[in-house]
Amino acid sequence: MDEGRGASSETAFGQRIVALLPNLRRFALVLTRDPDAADDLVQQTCERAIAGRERFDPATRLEAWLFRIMRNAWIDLVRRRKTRGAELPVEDAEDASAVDGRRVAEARLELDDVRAVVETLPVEQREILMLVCVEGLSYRETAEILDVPVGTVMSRLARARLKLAEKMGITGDPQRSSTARGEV
Amino acid sequence: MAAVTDERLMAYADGELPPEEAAALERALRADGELRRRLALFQETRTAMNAAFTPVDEVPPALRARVADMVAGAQSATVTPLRPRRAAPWRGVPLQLAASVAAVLAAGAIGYMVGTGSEQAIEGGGGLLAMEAGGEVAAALDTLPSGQELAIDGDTRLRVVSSFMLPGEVLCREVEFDRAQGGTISVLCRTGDAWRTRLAIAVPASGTEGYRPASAVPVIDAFLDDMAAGPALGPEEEAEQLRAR
Repeated sequence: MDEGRGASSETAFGQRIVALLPNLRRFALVLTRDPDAADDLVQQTCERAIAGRERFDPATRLEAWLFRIMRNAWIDLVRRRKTRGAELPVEDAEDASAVDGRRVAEARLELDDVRAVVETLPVEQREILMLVCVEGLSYRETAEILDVPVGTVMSRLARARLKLAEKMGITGDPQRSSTARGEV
Repeated sequence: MAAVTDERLMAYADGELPPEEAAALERALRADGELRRRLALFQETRTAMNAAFTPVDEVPPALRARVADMVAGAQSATVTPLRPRRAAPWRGVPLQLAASVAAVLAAGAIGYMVGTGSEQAIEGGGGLLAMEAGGEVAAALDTLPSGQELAIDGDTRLRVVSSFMLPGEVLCREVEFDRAQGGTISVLCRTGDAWRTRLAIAVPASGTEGYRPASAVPVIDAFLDDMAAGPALGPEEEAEQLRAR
């Protein structure tokens, strides 16, 4: 099987991509909010990653490189998606219609519904919350993926977390924080 | 001491502060309950995100299999397709494009035409395609910003998706034509005063959902790669290119 030059490194590279599929799909789901679109996006990301393998700098983290590819591929998909009326902006407004008010109130009590609350946030907040708080990327890595300065990452991330706290009823107060179940 | 910003507290919570600054902040935290509360807010949101998303959903077996095949295919390929730097004159269909087109045709969802550079009209897509775009379409391509739509011919909707440059300062635009009985995704490039179709893919009518078949996307990508296309232009750059004649 070792016919090509560097075949074993290609094997390892490919295996690492397969190993990261759960992470890729998780991020794709948050971007697209649709399982079928997410799977398409993952597949397309892997295609581009494999085709552009030579461009990966092994000194950097593969996850960060793949998330950058995925995000650019997703932006392309959004550009191609037809919308009624105005162009769908990448940074869309908060999706007030997606979740009814009572469910959001109940979400204050349930960690499971963090996902539901995240889904209502604007995409620029969703993606930054995922990259830093879930995937554990650094501010600098995230800034490179989003093509913005680190300062922008920090302000956007802070706003996103404050928004999340507000919707989840998280106050930071140990006695009265609503992350304890059963409290109102 | 100046008020500690949210960003600073957050950076501390995320381990992004250098050690000296972290130590200084810890001193402030010991003395200030409100500061501690605000810090906890950032810590708890991170914990909540992590807890909610860390049990990762299982990857659908079909997707996993497709990617595994992709990986295996890449390992056994004898040609490594990289983005060619030259603007190759068309001599038939480039290898990378041919492979992805074959995959798409096998899926049966779309037909395709590739501009060979000849002057013949291309049939298909309900007669929408011709090598040189007619007056109304050309005028739209000269002026319409990406993302906007225009009704032409009464029953046809034209939507410009993006603009990009080919080597040699050639301006191209990715365009969707949509009619009730079907449409096309096309790439047209401006040479002199004329817009000529370089690629056209016939697609089903978009209907009410407005989604393009994902299978069309790799064909376009392969075409763009083979033509060494630059990235999509941002709004200012695009406006500048459209103004330049």
